Amino acid sequence: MIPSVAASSGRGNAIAVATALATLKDVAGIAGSFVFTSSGHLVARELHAMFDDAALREAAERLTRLSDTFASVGDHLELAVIRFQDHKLYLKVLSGGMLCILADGVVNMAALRMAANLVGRRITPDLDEADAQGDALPPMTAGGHTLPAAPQMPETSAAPTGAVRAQVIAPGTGRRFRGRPLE
Amino acid sequence: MIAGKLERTKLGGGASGPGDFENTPIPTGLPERPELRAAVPAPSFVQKVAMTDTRRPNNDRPQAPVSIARNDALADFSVMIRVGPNGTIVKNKGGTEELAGVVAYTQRLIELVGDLLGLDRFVAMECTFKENPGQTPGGATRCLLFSEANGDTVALRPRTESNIQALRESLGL
Repeated sequence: MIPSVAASSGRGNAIAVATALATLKDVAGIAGSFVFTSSGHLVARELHAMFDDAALREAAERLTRLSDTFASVGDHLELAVIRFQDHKLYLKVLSGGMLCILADGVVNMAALRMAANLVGRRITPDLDEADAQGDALPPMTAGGHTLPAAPQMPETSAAPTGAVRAQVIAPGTGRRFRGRPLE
Repeated sequence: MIAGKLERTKLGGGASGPGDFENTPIPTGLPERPELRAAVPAPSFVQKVAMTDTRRPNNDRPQAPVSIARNDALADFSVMIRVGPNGTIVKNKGGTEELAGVVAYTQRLIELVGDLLGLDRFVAMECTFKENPGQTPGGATRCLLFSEANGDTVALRPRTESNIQALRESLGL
């Protein structure tokens, strides 16, 4: 059973969002979804556990940057459908963040659009609140489980030096430095 | 509509006459095999757009119909920009250098997101933008991006009145 928590608490908001995300799976072909605030903080997810939570955080940050990129030339993103070979990523920009739906390539787009509109409307108040609260809350699943937070590394102002600096290579290669991905 | 225009112009605007090599049947003496003809898939819209690329000097298709096809296809788009894998603008109609940067960066971000989520190769993207208060009515509020086999990324901004359903289907969107 999906737990219901008073909407006054931030955690309750996250559970409410995750509960709404679970309803998206009524549309055949939707593999899952996640929601993040406009600052890129993951609020809730309804995806198989094989999707690493840290990866979702990174994806959220990049999708936020994607929206910012268009905004820099005066285009404010409202919707985006990204087609990969066998999958689609459906992005819906909400006032407090973004809803991201992962679906099969053959998903019924009309049904997906409708479901996304309904869920978007439902989670907007909670997402606005989560956005206002900042990064204080861990993301929730529909089962009410708190996902383990990514290991927080102490922020150091000093740049890596010597042999460590040599490991900093081209972006997007999947290399990590002290547990953090290299940009 | 766009695909239809392209098909028409590719065949010389439906006109047939002396010198129209594509429409002139070649007497081979062999029996007609329509089932074999049907087995050859028709080129997709994306392939047709690619045919309009001016960078193919050895293209054995006649030049005049191709240029007509390009003009017809581009009439439905207010902006068309082709960015190479290294970020250079290969072809541009109505776009800016800033837009080329947006296209290149967007494509890279999507690739990274795809890698993170274990998704396959990026194929295409359709964006819908909010209408700005100061925007001219009928201004482009949509954008299509797709990557090609040679590494180029093409961005198109269809006019509001354009029907891009054929293109959308070709791109699997």
